[in-house]
Amino acid sequence: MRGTKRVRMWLRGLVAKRSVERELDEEMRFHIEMEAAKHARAGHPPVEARRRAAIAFGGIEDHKEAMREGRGARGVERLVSDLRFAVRQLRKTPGFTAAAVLTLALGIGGNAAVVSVVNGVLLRPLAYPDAGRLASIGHRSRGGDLPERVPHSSAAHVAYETARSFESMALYETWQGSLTDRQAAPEWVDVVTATRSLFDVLRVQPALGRAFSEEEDRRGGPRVAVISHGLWRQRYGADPGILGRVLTLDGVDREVIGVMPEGFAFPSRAPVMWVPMRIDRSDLSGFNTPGIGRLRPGVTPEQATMELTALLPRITTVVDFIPAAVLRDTGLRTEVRPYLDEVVGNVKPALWALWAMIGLVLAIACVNVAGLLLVRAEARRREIALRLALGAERHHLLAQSLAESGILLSLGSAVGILFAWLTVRVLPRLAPSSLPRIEDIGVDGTVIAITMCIAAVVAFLFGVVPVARNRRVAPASMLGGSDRSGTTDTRSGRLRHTLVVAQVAMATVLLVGSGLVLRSFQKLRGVDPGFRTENVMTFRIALPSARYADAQAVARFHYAMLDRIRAMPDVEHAGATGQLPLAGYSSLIDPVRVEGRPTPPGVMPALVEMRVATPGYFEAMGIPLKAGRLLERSDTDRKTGAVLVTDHVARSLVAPRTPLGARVAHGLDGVTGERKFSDVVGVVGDVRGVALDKAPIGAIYYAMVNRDSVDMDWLARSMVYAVKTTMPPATLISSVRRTLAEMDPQLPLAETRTLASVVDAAEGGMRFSMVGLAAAALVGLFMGAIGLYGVLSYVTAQRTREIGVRMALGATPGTVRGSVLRHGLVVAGAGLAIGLAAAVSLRRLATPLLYGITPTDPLTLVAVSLVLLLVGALATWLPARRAARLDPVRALRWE
Amino acid sequence: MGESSAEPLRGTIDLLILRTLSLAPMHGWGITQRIQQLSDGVLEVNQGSLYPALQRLEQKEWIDSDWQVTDNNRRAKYYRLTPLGRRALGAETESWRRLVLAVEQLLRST
Repeated sequence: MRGTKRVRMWLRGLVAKRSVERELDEEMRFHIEMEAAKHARAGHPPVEARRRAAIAFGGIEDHKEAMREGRGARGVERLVSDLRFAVRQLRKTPGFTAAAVLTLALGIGGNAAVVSVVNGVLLRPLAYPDAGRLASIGHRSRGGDLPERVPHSSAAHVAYETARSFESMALYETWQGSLTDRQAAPEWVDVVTATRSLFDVLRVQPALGRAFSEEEDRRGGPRVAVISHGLWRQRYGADPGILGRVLTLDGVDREVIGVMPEGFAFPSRAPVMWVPMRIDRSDLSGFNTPGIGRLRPGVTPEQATMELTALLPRITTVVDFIPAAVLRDTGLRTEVRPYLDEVVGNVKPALWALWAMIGLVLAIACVNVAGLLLVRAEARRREIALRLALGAERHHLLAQSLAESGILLSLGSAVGILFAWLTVRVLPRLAPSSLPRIEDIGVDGTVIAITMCIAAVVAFLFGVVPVARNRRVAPASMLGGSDRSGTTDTRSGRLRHTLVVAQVAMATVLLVGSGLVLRSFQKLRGVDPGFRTENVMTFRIALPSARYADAQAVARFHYAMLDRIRAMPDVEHAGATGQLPLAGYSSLIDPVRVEGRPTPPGVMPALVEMRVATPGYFEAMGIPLKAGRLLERSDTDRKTGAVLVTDHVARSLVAPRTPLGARVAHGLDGVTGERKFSDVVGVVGDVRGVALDKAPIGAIYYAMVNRDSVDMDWLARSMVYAVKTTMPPATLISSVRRTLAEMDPQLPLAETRTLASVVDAAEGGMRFSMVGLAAAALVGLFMGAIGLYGVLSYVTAQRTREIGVRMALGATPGTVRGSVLRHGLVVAGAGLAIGLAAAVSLRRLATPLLYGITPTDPLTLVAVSLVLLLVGALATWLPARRAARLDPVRALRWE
Repeated sequence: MGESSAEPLRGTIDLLILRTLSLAPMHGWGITQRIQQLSDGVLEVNQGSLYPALQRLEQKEWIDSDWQVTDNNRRAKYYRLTPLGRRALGAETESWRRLVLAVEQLLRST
């Protein structure tokens, strides 16, 4: 209560400032009049009475000022007037203001854009309740034949059953199948097979109906499916009677038992259906299934890793086909890490690097604006000296300077955030599909808050620097004469040069960073994937087992389809395979055996990809034949199966024996359901199947039907066709669709895309970091060049008189130009040297982003140096030319 | 106004104003006159400290103000003691007496 009056008076002073001032005036006038009247009564003439009263009262303005201070509104009033003053100052120099605001907007906007991405991808929790406790469960090996990261498996899942670090654990597997029912046209959909526990781990239950029961998750139990909200709405028109309906997935009838809530997605946005995994404890041969678990509160992934690794040896008692020696030889250990890391994957280092780089851009922008402000402060020294002489207080000058930089930063931030918002809006179109969580990226409160914090710090520094520069301005000396007559103040010159050197150094780091990524990308593009992408169209056709019961029927269909495609105009070659290279992790990496060469007991067998291919596939993909022959349709009827092996397999497993005539098979020795050996009829070139930057692993290609040797029908059921045409295949897809409809109107045509786009997607992560870093580097270089140009222009302009004297004494335009150029290049060179040293010391940051080059790639460093010196020379050239053209007479009079 | 007049001690002006206003509501000039009068012309309040002090006291809600018409028909801002101000006057008077006694004692002790 006591405070209210004070606040009211303070507010009144602010809001109704005029009337408060008027009252004050009236009160004081009244006082003086009463005083004058008193003097008049004492016998003084009116004029004298007034004079005495006025003298007695003293300085009215002083009293008023004291009252204003007393009201406490003075700070706000002064702030408003400072801001007004700053706006006036900025409007007087629109060029400076525009340059500063735009520079800051670029720096801040770039930052806000990257912060949006970092925030959306790395910082914001996933959309599951208490998602911080979700952890992925996988394994890591020492490398060699095994990939470095080995997924979870049902055997390990059973081995970990007693683990106490987790509340619950689940296995899942993503695949695709054709969804058919009487409701709508057949559809190719993403499906997840998961253990019943998945919904407990994620803590999300169906919005309608229920999740799998224990019985349904057991082999032989009823076939059921939980569908996504999206599928329910789009395909079934949000039918409330959906529960109990039967849909057919890959020929298997399943009862719909639940609909997930809107917005639920796992593990990516794609899946529309979740079906039980039905792990059979008597057959735990299923490998390569990712695992996820919910950690108990307070348990760290590291603790969980330790516990599970200790449990891992149990796997040898759970299944009989993994000898204990395998664990030892491969150095297999469990790896539990935050599930977010799994989702975000290898984008993390790229994003941090990008943020660091864009931070440098902001720093360059700031240095640029600081340089501009500094020059401005120099130019205003005389004005400031005058104001100091007239009694301005220094802290008031500081406040004004802060107001000015505050306005610049606010404008820059506003434009920058707008710029970031636009960038983020177009990002989904620019960024590759491999940028995870792209739907979570947006300019939100966090982003704006972080940006504002950065801007506030910068504004403060900017405001303080110019005042600090003018702190020691002595009014008398500054007013005493022309402040530009003498040589330049060495101290301010040094500061300016330091700023430019810092700028050039930072631009160097940026250029080196983006240059390295650019070179990596170039190297990656130069990698031979083992196949040719020109004019190859791909699509998938999957055959449900309900209508294509056995391998023969499957093969018959694919061969007939291929025959009809080959008959189309412009088609050169056509073939099919189970999974395209680079089109995602191939889950079919299995141990391999070579006849006559049993794996010694306790030694890890070699692992190679198991692939299926039709005749025509290798020609369509441009995969070269190295020896023997390719697969033929007649191989289907051979008594023993015919297979092709890749170079890698021939060299590492079959050599020194000639590969042709050798006999190989997938699977382990002495395991139930052992597959028979097939004859190697040919050797084909290696293909980079997993990733472009990973060396090819071996593969064995089976014919679709490999009688008696291997049950390939499940693999051949869903085939990707590769069709090579003589020209870009614009109309091919519609012809194929027509043909497919003629052959079987119930089959969907899925995954239609060019082979080139498959490779592009595989390069996506690196393309993203390359484009981001290149943009950052270009902006940084541009700003650095402007900074160099600005400072040299200014310094040259200040030296006008000195240059005039020199020329009058006989210096030629050439020597003048040379001296300015030399000056610029020394500054640029110093920055370059510091920048290179910094880039080399930061090399660890860049390493995860690079491919095929070292972080100190000499070519990159040399190229960057040349570019920088060239840009430095350009930025210096204009001021140098201006200096050389000076007329000595005019220059000497120049003020 | 002779040489005998003096600025009131810093800090005592609040007390003087409160005391003056405890007799009757008064405008600024009137307060200076009354203080002078009551102190037999010894204490003379400077306008530069009077008005800020009035503002301060008003913020503390010890006094209140409104515009009234004077005897000779002029508009003037009259200040009046609030109940809170009356209590404060008591306390301030008390502490002033203690101070005077203390100073007196000190002077006498030599």
